[in-house]
Amino acid sequence: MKKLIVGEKWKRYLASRSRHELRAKTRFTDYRRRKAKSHLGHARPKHFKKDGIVSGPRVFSIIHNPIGMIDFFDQMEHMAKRRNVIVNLSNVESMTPDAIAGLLAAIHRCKSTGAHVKGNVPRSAAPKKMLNESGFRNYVHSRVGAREHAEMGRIARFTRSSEAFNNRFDQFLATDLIQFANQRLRGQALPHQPSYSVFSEAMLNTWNHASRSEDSREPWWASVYVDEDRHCACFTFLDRGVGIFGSHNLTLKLSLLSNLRVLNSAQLLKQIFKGEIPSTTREAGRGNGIPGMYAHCRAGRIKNLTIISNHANGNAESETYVVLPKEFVGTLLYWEIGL
Amino acid sequence: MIASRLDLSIAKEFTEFPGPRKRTEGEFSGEQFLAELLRPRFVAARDAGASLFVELDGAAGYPTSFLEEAFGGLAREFGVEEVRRVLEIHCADEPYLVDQIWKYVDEATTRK
Repeated sequence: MKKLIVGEKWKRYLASRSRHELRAKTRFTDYRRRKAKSHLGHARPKHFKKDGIVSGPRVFSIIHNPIGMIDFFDQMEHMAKRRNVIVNLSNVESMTPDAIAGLLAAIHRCKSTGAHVKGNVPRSAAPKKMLNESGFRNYVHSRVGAREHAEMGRIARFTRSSEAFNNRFDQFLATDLIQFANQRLRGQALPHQPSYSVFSEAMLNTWNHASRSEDSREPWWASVYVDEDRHCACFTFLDRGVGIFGSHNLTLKLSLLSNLRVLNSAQLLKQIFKGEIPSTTREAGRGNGIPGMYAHCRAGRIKNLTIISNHANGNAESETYVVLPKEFVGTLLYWEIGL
Repeated sequence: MIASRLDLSIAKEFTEFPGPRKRTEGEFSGEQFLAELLRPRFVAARDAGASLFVELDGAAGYPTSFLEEAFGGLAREFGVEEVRRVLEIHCADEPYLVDQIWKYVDEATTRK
């Protein structure tokens, strides 16, 4: 039916309603745009349609093959900027548990860009067994029948998004990992004071110093794997934060020595181990964390203590300190306890 | 009658899972232990002319920052000599912890 009312008043009303609708539509568009961004201000991740393959090094171990693993992680993260990532581990011949925590951290970083990550297992029996029994599969989707019980390992993590650890140092989680190791090694869920102490310092250092900004906290992974062949439990604590030498809380002395290249990062790590670099807070009684770990290792209470951070790679047991040609972004802490 | 020795078992009276340095960093911190148990018991022992026997056994472990904040903090408040005179520390599980604590007491006021 033809509209009969065409007076000025009606025209103004229609124009007003049209403007109102336009404003409402604009507001809604803005709202959708804001909602598309997360609370951290990052754009909603893209979803890629193409896949890219990244192959793991034959020696899949950060402590034994740091350069190969740094390249591997870099390739994964580079690929994840434009494609989904397929991790090919079929050619891996040897593996250590620290690399599994590193792989989970790399997967976490890749997923944050929106890339899907999938992969296969090593063809060799030993690394395949380690991967399947480490607890790795608790953090990835596995096809029906492929999920195996984590017989020999446990992996725990703290991430910004999903986990509910309110404490900077989660003593119950540390105890759980240590008791698991002792249950497998000695048949009793006993405590292990040095490992408890190392976990506490690692968690607190990551919380206080590893983050790139003051208002966010860096995710970390903590793991234990019981190596039956070597009769030892291997502990790993890993974060992909700024690293020891990238912390904004560096002391003036450490900053100067590092920036002026008076000492290289390996020499600085050696000094940190030995307590010769002052605490970042400059308060009395501080700065005992890493020197305490070093003391545990030198006294034989823990074995093979290794720290890899930025360009430094140090082993407190063998007293070897090496400068890495490529940077490991973050900090890896690895140690073992024997029977 | 004045007791010649007061006892304090960390595992039995405070926690089996000692935590970080400060209260803001998590549960069962060294700061909390110092405020709620160690300092009052230390003062009581000192005023009674007794010693304070601190038992470390039975806990899952001790973070270095927990021990430093508690025992180093005590020394910063009451002085190294006073703490050395009143305090006795025992740990059969991990005997090296006793030396570690005395080191924190001795270095309590030293800036590194």
